[in-house]
Amino acid sequence: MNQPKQYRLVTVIKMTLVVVVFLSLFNSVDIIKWIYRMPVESGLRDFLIQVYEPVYAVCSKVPYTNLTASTREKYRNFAEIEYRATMDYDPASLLSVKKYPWLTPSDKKEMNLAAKIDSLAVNPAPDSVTIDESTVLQVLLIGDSMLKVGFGDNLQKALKEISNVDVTYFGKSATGLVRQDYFDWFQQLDKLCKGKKFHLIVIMIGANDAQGIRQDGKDIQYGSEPWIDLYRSKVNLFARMISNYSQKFYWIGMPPMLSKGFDGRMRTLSKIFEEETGKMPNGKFISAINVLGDNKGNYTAYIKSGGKQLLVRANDGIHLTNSGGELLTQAVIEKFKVDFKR
Amino acid sequence: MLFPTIDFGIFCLTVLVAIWSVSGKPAVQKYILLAASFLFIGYLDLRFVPVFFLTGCSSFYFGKKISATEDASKRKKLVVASIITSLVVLFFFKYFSLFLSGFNTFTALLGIEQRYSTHNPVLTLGLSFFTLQSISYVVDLYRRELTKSKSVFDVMLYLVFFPKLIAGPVMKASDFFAQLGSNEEKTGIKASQAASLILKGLFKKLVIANYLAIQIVDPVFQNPENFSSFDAIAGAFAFALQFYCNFSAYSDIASGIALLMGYELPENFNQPFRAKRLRDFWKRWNVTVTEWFRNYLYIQLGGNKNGRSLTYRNLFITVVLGGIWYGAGFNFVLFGILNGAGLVFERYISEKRDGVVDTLPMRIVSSLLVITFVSLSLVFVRAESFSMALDYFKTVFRFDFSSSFLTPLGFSIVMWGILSHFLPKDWGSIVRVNFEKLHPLSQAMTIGIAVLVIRTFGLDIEANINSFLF
Repeated sequence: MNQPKQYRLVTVIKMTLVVVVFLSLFNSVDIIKWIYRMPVESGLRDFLIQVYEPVYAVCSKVPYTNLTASTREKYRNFAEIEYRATMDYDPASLLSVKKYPWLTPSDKKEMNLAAKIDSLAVNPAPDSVTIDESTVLQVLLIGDSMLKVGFGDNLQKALKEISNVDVTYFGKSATGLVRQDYFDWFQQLDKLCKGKKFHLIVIMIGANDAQGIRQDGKDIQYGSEPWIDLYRSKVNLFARMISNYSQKFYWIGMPPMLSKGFDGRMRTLSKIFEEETGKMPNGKFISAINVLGDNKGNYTAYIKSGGKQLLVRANDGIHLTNSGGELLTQAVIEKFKVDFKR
Repeated sequence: MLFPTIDFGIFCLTVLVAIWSVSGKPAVQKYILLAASFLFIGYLDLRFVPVFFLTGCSSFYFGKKISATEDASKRKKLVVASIITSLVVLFFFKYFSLFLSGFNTFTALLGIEQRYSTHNPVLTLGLSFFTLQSISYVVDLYRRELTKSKSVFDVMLYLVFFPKLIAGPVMKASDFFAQLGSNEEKTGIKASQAASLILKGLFKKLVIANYLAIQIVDPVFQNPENFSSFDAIAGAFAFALQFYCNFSAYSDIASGIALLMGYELPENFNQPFRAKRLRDFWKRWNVTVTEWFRNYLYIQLGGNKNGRSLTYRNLFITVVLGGIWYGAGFNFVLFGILNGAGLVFERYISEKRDGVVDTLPMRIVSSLLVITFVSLSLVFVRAESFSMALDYFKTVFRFDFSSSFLTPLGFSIVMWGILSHFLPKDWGSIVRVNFEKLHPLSQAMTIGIAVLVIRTFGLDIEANINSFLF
């Protein structure tokens, strides 16, 4: 076998430099996305945005510098790869037009939340829905890993056991309403509900949302007043969309979390979910704290049920075990039996 | 900051620039590498740093004591104390929650209501590899394969050298120190070999492993009952291939980065799916870890020197402990038991039946049997629980071959992924030799284009840190 060639250090350094420059110019979309994904609090992120955003803004208008993005889209269409529409987004939509005037409005796909909210009317709904014996009840389950791990499968199974139900189930880990750049739940909801009207939509989301929001070239710190306002408007819009696509919907709050800090953040978000769901005539908020907390509403890994101690929380102190998912399922099914009658 | 990320790329580039800027000063390079390795550990989780530092210091201390004495009984006591220290640390950080979970199940069976939280606050990534190497260091000193103890910096660098920390390969202490000593004589950098290893690793991880995970493995294992038996079996093969691609990709990238720093790491995967016997498979799979278990456990237990039944026992214990080493979960125990039993059975059969005809059809059948056995045993590793694994096997034994969700591309990737193991081993070197003939600027552009192609056809996946809790 041929022995590998030995290179002089200077040659290796020059080659490395060429590779770095080449990738900075021809892979600018991935790099700017990576920079945006860095923690908002990080000083390095601010520095890299200052340095690299202009490079990206120029590259995005130069032919062939973003060939990978279009080829990738074609490949994913050909290979029928799931999530392709939502994993990718156009970072140009996050740039400020004032700063980069050569970006045309078509490059900017900002979602005008206020306009969207106003355009969505909310259906009034009866207290309970009566369904014909022959009607197949259409149910949609959506959420992040809090739904996917331990809960979603149990709920799906329980719904199917009760009644003539067709369940559409879409869970996506590591997503939320904050990072539309990474995964656009609004778009996904539209896709899932296109041409359909669900009898019931169940949503459990929010575990990944305690982070900053980047909008119009600026970062909005998590927990600040503007953040709360913006997040509330996102939740409101999402609740309105769900409300329009369903006869009834249940928004499930976050359970107590093991880490005190994370628990506090999740309680803040759950409060927003509860308040915004309460504004919709067909929405009900289900508190996971009442189901999965101890008698003071605090975190507990074990809950006594049916004479047995059940391990309800996963080792990470965040997700649910199968038993935890079963308990939460029972709470949802109780509401379901009241709201849907045949 | 796992390997195929921009974060890691930038970290690595910074370290390389720092090392190259002090070329010709190997001692300074060592300090830079040591600092970078602890920075890497701290970036994963700051709480890892004292764990690795103190355990490393303890190995250094025991090593120094062992080499300072000629008293055989004292040497033995010291090596045992060092091994116990390393194993206690590993047990506490990796297996304690598993132990508590077992304890909770046991007390529940007895009707006792006391439960302990199984939450593990510090998941020490890379501790398993670290432990194997710390044991290797003191045992090599005890066996006098290493003649004298090294400086605390050298020992620490051997244990925490960041390219190999998370997913190996495991190096024998004597091999690593030999390279530390020879730093002055290095004349050049094997950049083309390093680039080919890194690109191969990125391709395997981003293009193949992530495709298999998203398109085949995850759907099949989330709801096996929704699929046909054909799909379920394809899912198991796809997971075996995904597991191989993930793991070997990390080893390849580690070896490539180490080469750029002037260190050669041993080969860790040698086309395992072309194995004709299960024993051969384990010699080709995670070679350095298999070697470690053979050298420091199987042989220590007596190997094959004490008769047939003790050989079977030693083999079984070694493989079961190997399974447990791979992961903290009862699924890994079961994986170890299945493979241990498989190896014992295979050994028993081969001892009974001499002179099996080595024809091409026999070779194909043997390889197929090995791949199938390994893939099905890995079902217990992939399934999220034992009941999920049973659901999976129920689907397989429904014998429903009426439909398939596999796309032609998915099917081709699984088939090609397995068949590529039967290609001549050095076909990659032909590509490398031709690449080396290009002008350095063209070589650099080719590397850049290759990265772009991998990014284009590669898929992002949420970094599954649990896959690498070795």
